[in-house]
Amino acid sequence: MKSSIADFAVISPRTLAEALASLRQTPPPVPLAGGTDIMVLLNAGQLEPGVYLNLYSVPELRRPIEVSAGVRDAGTWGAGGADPPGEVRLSALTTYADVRRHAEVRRLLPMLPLAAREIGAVQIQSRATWAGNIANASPAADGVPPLMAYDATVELSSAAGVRQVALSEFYSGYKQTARRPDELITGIRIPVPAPGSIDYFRKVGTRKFQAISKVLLAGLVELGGSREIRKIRLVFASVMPFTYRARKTESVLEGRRLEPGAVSLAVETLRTELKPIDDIRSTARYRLKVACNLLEEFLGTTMGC
Amino acid sequence: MASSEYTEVVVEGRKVRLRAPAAEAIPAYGAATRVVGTAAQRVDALEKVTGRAVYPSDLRLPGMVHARFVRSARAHARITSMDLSHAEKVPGFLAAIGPSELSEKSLKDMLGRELPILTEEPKYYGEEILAVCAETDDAARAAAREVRITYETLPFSVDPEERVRAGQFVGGGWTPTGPGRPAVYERGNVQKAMAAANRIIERTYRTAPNVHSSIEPHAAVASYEEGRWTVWESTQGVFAVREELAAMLGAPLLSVRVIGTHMGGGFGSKVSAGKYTFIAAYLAKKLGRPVRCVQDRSEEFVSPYGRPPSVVTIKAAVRPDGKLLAIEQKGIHAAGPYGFGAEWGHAEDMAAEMYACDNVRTETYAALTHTPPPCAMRAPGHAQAAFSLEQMMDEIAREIGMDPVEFRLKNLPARDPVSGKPIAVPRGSHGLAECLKKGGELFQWKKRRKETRDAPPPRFRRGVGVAATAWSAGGGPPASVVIRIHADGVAELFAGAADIGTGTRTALAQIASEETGVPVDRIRVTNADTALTSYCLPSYGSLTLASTGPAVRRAAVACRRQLLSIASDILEAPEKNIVLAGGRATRPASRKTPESSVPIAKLVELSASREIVGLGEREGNPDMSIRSHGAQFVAVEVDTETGTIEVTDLVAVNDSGRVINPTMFKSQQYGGVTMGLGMGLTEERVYDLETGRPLNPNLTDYKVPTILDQPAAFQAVPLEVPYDGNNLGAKGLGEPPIIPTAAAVANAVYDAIGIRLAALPLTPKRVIDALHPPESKP
Repeated sequence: MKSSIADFAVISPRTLAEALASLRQTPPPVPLAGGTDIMVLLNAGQLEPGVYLNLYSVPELRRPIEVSAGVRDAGTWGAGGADPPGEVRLSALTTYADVRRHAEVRRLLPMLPLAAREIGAVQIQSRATWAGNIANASPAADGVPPLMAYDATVELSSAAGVRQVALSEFYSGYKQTARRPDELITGIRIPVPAPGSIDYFRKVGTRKFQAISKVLLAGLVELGGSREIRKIRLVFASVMPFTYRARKTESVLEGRRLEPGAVSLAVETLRTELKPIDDIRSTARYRLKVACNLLEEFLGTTMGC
Repeated sequence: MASSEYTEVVVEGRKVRLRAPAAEAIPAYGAATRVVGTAAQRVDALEKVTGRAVYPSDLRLPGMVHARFVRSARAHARITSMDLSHAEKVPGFLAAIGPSELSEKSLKDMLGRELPILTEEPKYYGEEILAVCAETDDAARAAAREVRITYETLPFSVDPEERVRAGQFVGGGWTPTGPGRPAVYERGNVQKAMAAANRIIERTYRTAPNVHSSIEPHAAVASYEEGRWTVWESTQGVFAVREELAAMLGAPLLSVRVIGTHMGGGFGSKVSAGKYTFIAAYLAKKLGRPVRCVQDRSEEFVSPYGRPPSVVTIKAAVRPDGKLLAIEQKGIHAAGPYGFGAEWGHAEDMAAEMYACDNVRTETYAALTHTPPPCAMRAPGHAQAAFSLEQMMDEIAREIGMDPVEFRLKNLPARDPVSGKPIAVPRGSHGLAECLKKGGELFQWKKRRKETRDAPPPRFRRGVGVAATAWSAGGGPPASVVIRIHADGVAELFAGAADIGTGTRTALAQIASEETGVPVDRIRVTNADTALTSYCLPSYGSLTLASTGPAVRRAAVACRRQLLSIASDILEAPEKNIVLAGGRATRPASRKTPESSVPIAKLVELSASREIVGLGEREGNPDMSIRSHGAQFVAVEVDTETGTIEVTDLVAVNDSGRVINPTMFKSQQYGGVTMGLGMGLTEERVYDLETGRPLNPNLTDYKVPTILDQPAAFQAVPLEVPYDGNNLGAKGLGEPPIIPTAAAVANAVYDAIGIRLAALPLTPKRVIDALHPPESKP
């Protein structure tokens, strides 16, 4: 049953400094961005009564998406032209809809709009933020796996200063994150992948859209001239208690030529690396089987490229 | 149409056969109709899209207060203490009602079985224990949360099969058997037929518990003034609610007025007064203020509603030439702890009625589970039964190497196998045969069946399937309708029927417009208000249009005669030469005279009564088995690596006689099929076996299909097989489209992967488990 509104207070700071100062209170207020998780809990009567910090009133958190130049690679980008894009920065309140509408992000980071379009309906996409998806730390988050596969870093600000944490280091257990209670996610920085990188994004759910995934794989691979795997990222959602980067499987593949033997070795490694969860949405057995099949599909189609 | 339908009643211990009132015959529609059969826009479309249409849960009355239930946090327990002291301190708290205050009050199901409104010994998780009332909804919620209850936990079981093994069941279906005895239907001699047959197939099929998931939850707002209640209720039947509520309140019928003009869906779950109805009315009198009692979405999953799960074992014998010899069925379904609503799980009717088969025996067990009592849900019983019967038909056809369409055609009954009555099929056609043939043609069944059979097995495997349905949907009395045409040319149509989202109000306006010539947008429909309209049954059983529609036509014909009589004098032409259409009476041009016309408003103004009134009553039905038929053909693509099933193509063909509005007809097909896809692929209420708690009482994890889950190629096809059993020629359609969908999908999945998935929903996990059985390496 819905919570009683009287149990909740919301503070609306005018500046980032004010917001960060308020986070030093005990207990610290809970940051409120798009509200797409919090309002659901409120409606279900499961939201903890307390003080919430409205981020919409802080202009610094609402900056548009920034695409900045990277290091020139003459071989790929030609001489004399503009600098190649090197990094995309999302602000704390960048929504899924913002990313879907941004032509350059669609081109540079194609997995982000793919993830964005599968998250909820249009109303949710217009409210929900990428930073909120990271902070909420759901193991089924759809937005986190592609960000992690792209090696994104999380910009954490507090009254004491700013620090950068690799997204792949951000989670340590179910709903356990590197964010301290006095910190706010103020930005997400995503390096643009090397030209020619191949990505893979697949979400398996019960229905086509507006479904929480049963298994999701976001993958990114960079191949060398003789088909050797220079770098690979394999990130799974809904399989482990938190968004999981399969480092062991990645390391088995890195440096190896992409060929059928490597694929079966990778699948065997993944099979022992994953310790899937069992819950109402599916079983551990199903998740393991399908996670391995998705990896096989990713590597198989990449081999065919 | 001569009335030949009889109702048997008992008067002072004596059986009396009542005849439906004789009614003058109204000729069938001619070859061309002007309004009936067109895609008229919904009469309330603007009201609804602009939010002006007031639904009961939207209603806010001055001084209104709010009631909320306190529900059991145990699946079975005795309450040892209830502490209200904290709840009473919540600002705005007004009252609490406990089980002792209402110990005499209960809801009754169709067979008179009782369900207490509040209880001290809850028998399912979420059962209502107390109702609290406060100035605001927030305060009522807060007070409900502050009630402290201690329980003595008692043993429970949410598993229907376990309960049957323990002897905890009653007979299902419409004949009460008392505890510990199944309901049995038998014809011929199954044992003998089975012994003589050499082809026998047996399988057990399981369907999951489903929830209606109407957009508007169960809701009532009641006010009490000067000894009378007015109740705004989200309901399929205002008259049923009035009768039940008046009985529970111990008040005369006329002291209760129920209004249900707009309501946000029911699908069978709103055919009776609910606990919330009684609580709102009871508190309205007690507090002297209007009371609103509305359920949250999560409560929809724990209150007494939903399609019960079933476990159906069918054994069938067939002759090598395709003649069905015998069907033996054992069906178990959950009936909640009270047996209340046990009639809604029955799967026996379809096995007995659908096909010609001389030897049939069914046993039906309604298991007394610690789960919410079931109720009707779109095609109750049939939707479950089709999953078993229509898969079994597919299995048998494959066993004897016969096309499943041919096999069904070969076993169609000419008479209702249970009642022996002829099936209403004029001119030698059979509705189901027509549907199967038409659907097969549109789907290219024979060609596609061969294609999938010959295809090599790649990762994505394709398959096709078919399933069929028959549903008794003739409608019938009672239904009385009044039409009043006023001096400004606007007509008012008064009908008791609820429009449960199907477009009833619009279809009735079209029927009235056809006869009176008043345009549809000049007809105001007043419906589902016990103070303004005449008695009719709830909008259930796909009977609304076929019951009320013919009454509307009679009322409209009565108006038409009066209009023509006046028009004939004014236009100086015989009545037969005058056309009523577009708001005017027109005498077409002849060789001698030019066209002349007069507005209908003028005719009314000039009439002696200054208002044209027509009354229409529904005539009886012919003494036949009246069925709506349907067939569905589907193509699926199964991803053998993720286990997902995509329904790529679907053809739904339904014969319900005359189509009044093709858009709304197709909408019923789209809606029913989509709900069937939910039943087939995604929807399941999951209970925790350790605690009996529902694990997914929300629309996040109880997944109904979205518009994007519909098949890419989806053809909804109305097939108008002529029917003359009522003056419209229309039969019901609301339920038939959901019936065969899950079975058709399962048959197609079998065709694709060669494995029979016999349990719903057909989730990716079940597909993967079937392709890679758990004992093998994952």
